[in-house]
Amino acid sequence: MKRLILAAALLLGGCSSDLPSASLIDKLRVLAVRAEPPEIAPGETTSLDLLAVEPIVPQLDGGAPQPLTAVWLACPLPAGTLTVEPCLAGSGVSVVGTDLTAKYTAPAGLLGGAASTEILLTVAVADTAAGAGDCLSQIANNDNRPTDPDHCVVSLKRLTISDPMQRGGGAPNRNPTLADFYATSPGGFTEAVDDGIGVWTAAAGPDLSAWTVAAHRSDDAAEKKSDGTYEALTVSWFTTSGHLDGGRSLYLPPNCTTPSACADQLPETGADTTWYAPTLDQAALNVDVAGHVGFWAVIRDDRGGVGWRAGTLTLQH
Amino acid sequence: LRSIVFALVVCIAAVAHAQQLEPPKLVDKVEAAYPEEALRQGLSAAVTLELIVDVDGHVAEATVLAPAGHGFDEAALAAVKQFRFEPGRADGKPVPVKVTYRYAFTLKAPPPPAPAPVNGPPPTPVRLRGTIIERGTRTPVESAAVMALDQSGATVAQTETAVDGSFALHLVRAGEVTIVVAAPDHKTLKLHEALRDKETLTVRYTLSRSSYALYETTVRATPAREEIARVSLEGDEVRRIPGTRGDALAAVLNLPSVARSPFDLGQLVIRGSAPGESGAFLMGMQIPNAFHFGGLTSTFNSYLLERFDLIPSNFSVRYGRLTGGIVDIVPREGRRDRLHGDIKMDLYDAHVLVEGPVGKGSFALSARRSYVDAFLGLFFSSGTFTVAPRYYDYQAQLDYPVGGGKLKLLVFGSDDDLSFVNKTPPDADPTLAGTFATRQWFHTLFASYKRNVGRFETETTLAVGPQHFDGAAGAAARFNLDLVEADLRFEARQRLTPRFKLTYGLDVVTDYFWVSVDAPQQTTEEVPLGPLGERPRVTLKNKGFEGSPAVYVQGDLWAIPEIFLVTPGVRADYLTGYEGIYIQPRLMSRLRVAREWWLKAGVGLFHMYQQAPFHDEELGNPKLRAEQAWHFTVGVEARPIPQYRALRVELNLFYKNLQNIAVTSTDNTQRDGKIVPERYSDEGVGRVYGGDLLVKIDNGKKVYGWLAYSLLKSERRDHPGDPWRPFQYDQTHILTLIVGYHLPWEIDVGGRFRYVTGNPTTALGPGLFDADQGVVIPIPGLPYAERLPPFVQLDLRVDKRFTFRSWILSVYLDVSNVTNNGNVEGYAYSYDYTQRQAVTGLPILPSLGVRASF
Repeated sequence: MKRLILAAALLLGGCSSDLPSASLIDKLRVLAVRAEPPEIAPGETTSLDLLAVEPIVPQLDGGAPQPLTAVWLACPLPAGTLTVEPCLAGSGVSVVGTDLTAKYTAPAGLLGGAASTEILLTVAVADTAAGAGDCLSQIANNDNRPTDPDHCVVSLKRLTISDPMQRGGGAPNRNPTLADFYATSPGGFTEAVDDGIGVWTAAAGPDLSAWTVAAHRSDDAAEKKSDGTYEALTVSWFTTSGHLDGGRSLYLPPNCTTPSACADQLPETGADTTWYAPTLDQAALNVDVAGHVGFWAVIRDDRGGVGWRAGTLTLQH
Repeated sequence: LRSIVFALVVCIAAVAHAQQLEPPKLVDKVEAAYPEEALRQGLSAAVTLELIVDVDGHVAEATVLAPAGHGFDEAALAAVKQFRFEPGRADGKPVPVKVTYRYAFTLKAPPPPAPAPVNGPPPTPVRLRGTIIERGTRTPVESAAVMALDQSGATVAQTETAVDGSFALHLVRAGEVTIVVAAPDHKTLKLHEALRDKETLTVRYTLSRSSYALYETTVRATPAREEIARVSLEGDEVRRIPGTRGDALAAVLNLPSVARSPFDLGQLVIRGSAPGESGAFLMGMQIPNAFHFGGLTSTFNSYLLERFDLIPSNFSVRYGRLTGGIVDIVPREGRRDRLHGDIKMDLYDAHVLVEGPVGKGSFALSARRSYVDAFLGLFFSSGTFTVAPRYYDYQAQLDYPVGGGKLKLLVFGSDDDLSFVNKTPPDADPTLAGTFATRQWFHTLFASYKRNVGRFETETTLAVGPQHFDGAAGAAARFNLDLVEADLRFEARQRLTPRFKLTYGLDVVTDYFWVSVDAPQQTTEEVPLGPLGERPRVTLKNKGFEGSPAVYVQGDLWAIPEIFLVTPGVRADYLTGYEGIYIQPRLMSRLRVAREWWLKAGVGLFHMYQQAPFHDEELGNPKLRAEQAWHFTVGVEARPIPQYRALRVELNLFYKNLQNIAVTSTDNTQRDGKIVPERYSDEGVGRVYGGDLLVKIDNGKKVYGWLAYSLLKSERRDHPGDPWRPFQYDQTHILTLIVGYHLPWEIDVGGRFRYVTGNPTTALGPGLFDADQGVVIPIPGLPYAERLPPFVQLDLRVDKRFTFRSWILSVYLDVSNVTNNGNVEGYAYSYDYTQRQAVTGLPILPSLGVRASF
């Protein structure tokens, strides 16, 4: 436990650090990988897509980015695996697709009588001229270590394959969705982020910079699991400019601080964070001439389900 | 003109530390001749000597420990060599014993001329009687000279105080007199009294000590001890070490071969062993927690300690179920002379201690509580801390003679509680959001009874009580353990011949436990900690009984009396859940090669449980064997300068071979006919080698302190064929210099300087994005291939004592990290592990404390 406390101290100690924030999009990022549906039976097919984003103002670290390319691979994931390795070599690896979307069909005899198993999906996304395939080769030759993490992101996703007859009466998991996504100015004006007409104003002072960014989950996003508890739902926030105070929020039941302590209660429908809008000087670095700031909200459950909403606010002079 | 003060018996040579012994009794004392030079100069003084009293009661050897010069030393030596004692006894048999004497010379005026007899001598009336007590402590001052001088300065009466400090002066005439009271180590008192005819004036005088900061014996170098490298600390100086806030037990972290734990968390990392492989004992029984969380202070009140011993390796067969080192805490008895009280407060906590006589025995009651929670609330917003850091502990102790033996009852409890809410998950690990909490408490009754039965000296100790530990780390982990522990130790010692003593023992630990776990699978030391959500989650609910008995036998043979001691022993442990009996032979020896030079050597085998949950049937691998260690030590200890015996030097070279270390396994194995994940294997091995040096000033009246330096390598090999790598807490150089100085006006100043090689660390590099958790999984570099920068810190402390008539007030200022050095304790990484930033330890931190005692 002391080791855990020490690790927590180091992690929490870095909270107020000068390290780059995960919620600021300043290079190629993969924010989510989705399988729709996220849980299938043997012989069924799921559609795969991903949320890969780039800053609105390209960072000048090697020329303008190339169009995104992707490669999808799949391999079995043995139960109890401690260290997850990407599907790059070995038996059982198959290429699922070479575009930003793909489809995967679970082999009919995959379970062999077991109630469920997991397939590990590995997807490489690159914005380089050489493309994602070259990126994967380089990583495979480098002991699975990324060689160019700013321009090639390798993501892992576990896909649950389950026997419908052995689900214990529980329905297969579904992806959670967000019902809305909006921002409220310091003056109390609410702007929808994803309707294309929302605006923001540059911060004239500290008191005028704090916006509330919020998203409601769909009513059916919080599913009950077979053990009677609700899924733990989180939402991750991202932006291309300014600063988000807390890149991740929890959908918690009322008067609850730890999801696992009150998992039998229905979580609230709303979650929010604070966005500190940039000053004009700051915005000059990462806001385009039209004054666009990109926002994303990604909702996750604790069983591999994911959904998102995205949009922009435009600078109002 | 002379007085003899029978001083404290402080060290016993011919028997081991745990043996009961009747000290020798002085039956024929010889007064020393007052040195002429001192007489001419009007000097008083005290000489401290060390005597070896042989089995016939003669003084076989006498050495001056604290010389006084001016001829006092020679006079004292000449006198004590003529002393006769009733010899000391063990098991009823005479044994040679080493005692310490203080021989005091007090200058007195020559007796006044006797008045001419008129019809026979008339009775001289008592005109002044009273007691002499020490200022502040109110301890009676024995053998103080009390003189009455007339107006011309001539002595008209004189006497000496008795053991209880009382005196009576017979004066022929009443009138104005000057009273002079003088005693060694005290300031001379001079005052005027008007004595009336036909009246007896009753007074109480208080004498001030010359110094209240006498640094008495602090490191025991008694050569007849069992262990090869036992360092014992006691007395006042260990409570004055800068940076420890007056906590005596924290001094153990400043001794050789004790590594510094990150953030000074108070983990016992001794001679390259993992924290869980070393332990703390109280009255010979292992206690769950020696320090309150964070290593802030020890759980046992420093002011109830007689001493504590650090045995970094090669401990005797008396101790088991550990493969590292041990710290043995020895509580003192409550004082019996009168009621005493002690109150201490500082920035973090306050304690109250009351002790005194009860019937033929004594009692002591102590309680301490922190109030960190009170002032943290001033700095953090409401709701951040649900329970702010809070700890308390208590001790209730009774020592009483019962049935020809000695009974000791001690109730000892401790409770730590911390709970706070982190509402914003860190980028690198979203599971670390929510409530962080830890609570640990124990309440234990210790009962010990010592009695001589026939030729056996027996000691039975029982420790019974509940313990609790729970923890929660956000959404990542929850853990709860309750247990009721009942441990028993029975030990009998028998001296078969004057040169051979045999010790037998039974050591049983039992508990009934209830445990529940919902947490990521526990990793072993070689696996770096990444996002907790990445690891398989394990859950467990269990309860059950565990019992582990052990028996041991040890012989202490003086192959050559006072020269060569050989201590063979063997311990047999049954460890619950493990196959077979673990037989552990151990051998230690000490050889005196010169008067103050001892060579020593030891070898021993040690076994212990695997750390939880590595051996657990559901969460680990029940086929793991018990951890094993071979310890080898050779060393020398000496007082190299005969003229300055206070200087003690000890040098040890050691090697430890570690086997059956649990390491994480990714293999599958067959268990009960099923293929299951192996989770852990015991194929890890380790080796620790190096040396440590202690240079210490004992009995320093003005200067005290020590230099501790260790040079060591602690390495592990996780799997056969792997290269050796540094252990997580491998610290090549550990240097601690502690110096204290007693200034006039009851002021003490002290400093502590530490230089420690930075801990090894595993670098984390950019990794893969886990789309399910929304975090980047770092790719670790070679385990512990990188090192943190060295730890360098200077702490300072100033103590000031105010002595009042019946109580003493002490004030101290303890400043940690006075140079505000940003010592790196680890690294925090960016969300994608492309950048990192050093996390530093505590900045400069002053702590003001005040203590009142009566």
